[in-house]
Amino acid sequence: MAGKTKLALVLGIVLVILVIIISYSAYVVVQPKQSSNTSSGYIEAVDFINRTVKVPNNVSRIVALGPGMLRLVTYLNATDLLVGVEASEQLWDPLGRDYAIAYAELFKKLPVVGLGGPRNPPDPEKIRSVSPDLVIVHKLYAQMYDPDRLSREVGTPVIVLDYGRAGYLDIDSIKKALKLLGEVLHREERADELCRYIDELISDLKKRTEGIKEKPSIYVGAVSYKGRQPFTSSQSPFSPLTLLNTSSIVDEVAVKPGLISVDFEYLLRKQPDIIFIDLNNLDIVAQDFKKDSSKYCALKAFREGRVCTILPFNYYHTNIATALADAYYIGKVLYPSKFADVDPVKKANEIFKVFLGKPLYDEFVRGYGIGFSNIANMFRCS
Amino acid sequence: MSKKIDQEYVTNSSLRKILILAVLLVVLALLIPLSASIGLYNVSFFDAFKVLLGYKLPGNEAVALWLRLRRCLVGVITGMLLAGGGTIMQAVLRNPLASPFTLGISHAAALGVAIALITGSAGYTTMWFMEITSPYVLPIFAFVFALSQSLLILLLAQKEGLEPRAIILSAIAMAFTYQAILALLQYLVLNELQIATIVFWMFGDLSRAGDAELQILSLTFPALVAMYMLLHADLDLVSISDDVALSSGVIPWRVRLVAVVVSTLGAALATSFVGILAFLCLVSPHIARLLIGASHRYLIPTAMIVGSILLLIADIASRTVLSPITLPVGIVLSFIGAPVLIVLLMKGGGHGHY
Amino acid sequence: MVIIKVVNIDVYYNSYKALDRVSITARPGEVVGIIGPNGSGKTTLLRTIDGILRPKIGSVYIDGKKVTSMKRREVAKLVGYVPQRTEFSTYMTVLDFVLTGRRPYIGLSYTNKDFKKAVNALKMVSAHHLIDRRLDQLSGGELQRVIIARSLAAEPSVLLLDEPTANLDPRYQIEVLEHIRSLAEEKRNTILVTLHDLTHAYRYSDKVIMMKNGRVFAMGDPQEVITSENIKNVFGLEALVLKELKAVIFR
Repeated sequence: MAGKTKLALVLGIVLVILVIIISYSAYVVVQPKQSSNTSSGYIEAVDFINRTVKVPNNVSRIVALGPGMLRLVTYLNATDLLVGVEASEQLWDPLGRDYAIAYAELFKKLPVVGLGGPRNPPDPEKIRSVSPDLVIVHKLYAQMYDPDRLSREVGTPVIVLDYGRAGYLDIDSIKKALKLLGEVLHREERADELCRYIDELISDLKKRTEGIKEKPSIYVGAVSYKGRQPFTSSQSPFSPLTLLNTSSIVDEVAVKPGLISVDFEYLLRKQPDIIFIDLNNLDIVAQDFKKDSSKYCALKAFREGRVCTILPFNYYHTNIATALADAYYIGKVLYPSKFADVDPVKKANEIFKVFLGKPLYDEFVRGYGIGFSNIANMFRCS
Repeated sequence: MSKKIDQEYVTNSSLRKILILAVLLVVLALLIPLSASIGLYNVSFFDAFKVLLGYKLPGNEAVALWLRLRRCLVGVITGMLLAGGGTIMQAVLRNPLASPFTLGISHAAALGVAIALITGSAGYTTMWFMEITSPYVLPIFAFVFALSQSLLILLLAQKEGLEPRAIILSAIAMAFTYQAILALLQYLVLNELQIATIVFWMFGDLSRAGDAELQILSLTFPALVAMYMLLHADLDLVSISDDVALSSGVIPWRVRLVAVVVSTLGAALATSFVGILAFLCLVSPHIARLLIGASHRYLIPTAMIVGSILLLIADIASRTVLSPITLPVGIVLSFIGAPVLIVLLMKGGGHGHY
Repeated sequence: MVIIKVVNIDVYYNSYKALDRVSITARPGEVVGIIGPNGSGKTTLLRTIDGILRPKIGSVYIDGKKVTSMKRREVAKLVGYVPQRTEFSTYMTVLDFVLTGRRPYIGLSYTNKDFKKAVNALKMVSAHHLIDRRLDQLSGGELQRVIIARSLAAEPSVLLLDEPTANLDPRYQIEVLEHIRSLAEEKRNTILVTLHDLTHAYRYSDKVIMMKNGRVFAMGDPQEVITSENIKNVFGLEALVLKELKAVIFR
């Protein structure tokens, strides 16, 4: 009896060790060697973390992973190359992500190659299952998962991109990312076209707002940041305002760029002339107003009916097109004389059309119930 | 006559334990091939034999098998390290609720990651990525912080003589402080990329460990397991009482120090490569104790095997439940671990002490 | 055969003086009963003899060697200490628990010899039928015997027992004390045991030490130490000492 039991233990130990040894040696044998299929031509590209990536000349199957990467691909008109999307593209509501509104139908049909979202690293087995010949990942994913390792595991080059801080318009980074991606996807002309258009808009906005002496004081409230936020959450600096050479009242108290939560009393003291509210969180503000309208009515802007809505543009990285459209609307509200010839809705549709091929403004209105508008009538103070 | 009865008694008790260990080993030996056979590609563990015999697998299948085997091995090793570490912690602090998570060690490690990111960044958000290209800076920071927290807890227990419940409560207080510091850093200093890195780092995921990590794990883990096992007699004594330990020739604080450093080393090594796996260190020792009793010469190996088994099961579940979507294994582990722990505590008579 | 000599020791807990100029001697085959009210320093005396506490002044000698300068492991081989209340994980089996007493002798792990000695120790207190039970399944008397067996597993020559009869019903108290007596008589062990029950001290000790406020109040044969006068002085109680019955009755 004792002998048999001891034998069982020994057998168990031997079995486990055997299985582990087999696994380990199979793992070592199967390990893919550094792929050097440089038979056909390739382009050498230096990506955003200074890696030199050899991208094959004839890229025809791509996946784009991580915040904003799919957006860049759609802006470049390269959706025909996509062979897979992240699950988040199928699970999340496209509303608020310009590229997703435009291509929701296409994304639904593509196979899933990973979870997506800001905290899930790429999954090589899934990516491999669609056998892409180029994987585009955001810098964040590269931090979570060594891109060289991913490249080896997927067996295709991995290029790491970014276009600045989420929620901001970092024009240089945007242009650099578009140009680099345009080069490897052979969409150079398209990239140039977009960059030229962006420059045009930026300089147009700059020209219109140069030399203005009397600038109104502004507060942008309920700005989305990692989800929904209350009225007292803002962002500093606010990119559309920066394009208009204008600052908001929170800029002077911000300690670092990004989300800033202010004391309501600060708003009361500053009494901004005009308040903008992120459409994504308008209902939160409306509910809070219902609870405590006197607080809001102590604000001059609410009393005097100068509260306007803007489209949210920070959702899975900055929606560049949306942010630019917002800038025109805000410009129109702040400096009507300088923007007399601009119809914000038409301008928004023009921008969406250039970036994504479709006018999307109506889709936003359908989603949020309203678009660019003065919503003072929602907040009655008498 | 009486001698025969004694022999019977000796063997009966240990036979049952040996049998349980053998059964657990077989379960583990079956789980590894099972786990290696589940996935999108139609490739199974038996293909591993083929590979070893010289067959060539098609490229995709080969890589799929490779990734799965690595994942399995990482799971087996980290499961053992974490569960063994948890067992030692519980013995040393004489506290069934002790585990890296309940003692705030995980939170301290997360804070370490944040501070690594900040000091690496030196205030220039565009520069930080370049500075942290070495994948081992974060784990080292995490380990240093984890170890300091372990020693702090040890100090509280040894010098201040806090009782087990007070230890857990003060550890929770410390964990909240770390979280507050982390939140403050997030608010004032860190950018989104850094915050996302910390959050990601805190979520356990087996696929994170790459070749280099597996190599480090497989080189260090035999030594760590040996050290865990060598402590068994001392842990028995320390878990009884300090006076008993002293009168049996064992100096408690020395055992505690060695045990805490060794177990933190193991747990931090595992955690820095696969992230925080809550509940594993806490639940595995409890299950093992229920199966095999409190004597550490059985308890430590049993807990380690249970840890591996639990982690492999959780990993299989995380890959199959919502397939093709893969969940982080830490989430699944919490789903399994929390109810198991509650059931165990109820069985333990409600006072959490077996 | 080991002689314990305690020479003129002062022991402090921080600034509190727990033992004050205590000197005692215990010889092989002797059961030394230590009595005194709570806080009189009985437990402190035992812990100091085992070297767990360090006297500020004076020394404890085991077989002529100073206990504080011996290796812990060597002390553990000579002296078995049974603390008053032992906490333990109740899932341990009796055998595993008694085996921990073999710690001073083991290298990497327990060997067959250790198992044999553990079983022997259990036999010495007639507890070998409990070997496979879990500690939480034992009665008070069984548990106390198992705890004593644990300290016997290392085959020490000196046994220090702190209130081995506390929380036992009378039958088990007698049982445990009989075992202690027989250890002294058969194994020639040196045994120091603290007791609350003065009648027990009278009946089972060869020598009685009566302590008060950290000092030895009286020391010697039971009939000399346990007197109505001493009891009144130390415990503050009126007591009747029946010499023929070896019993103490409080009025």
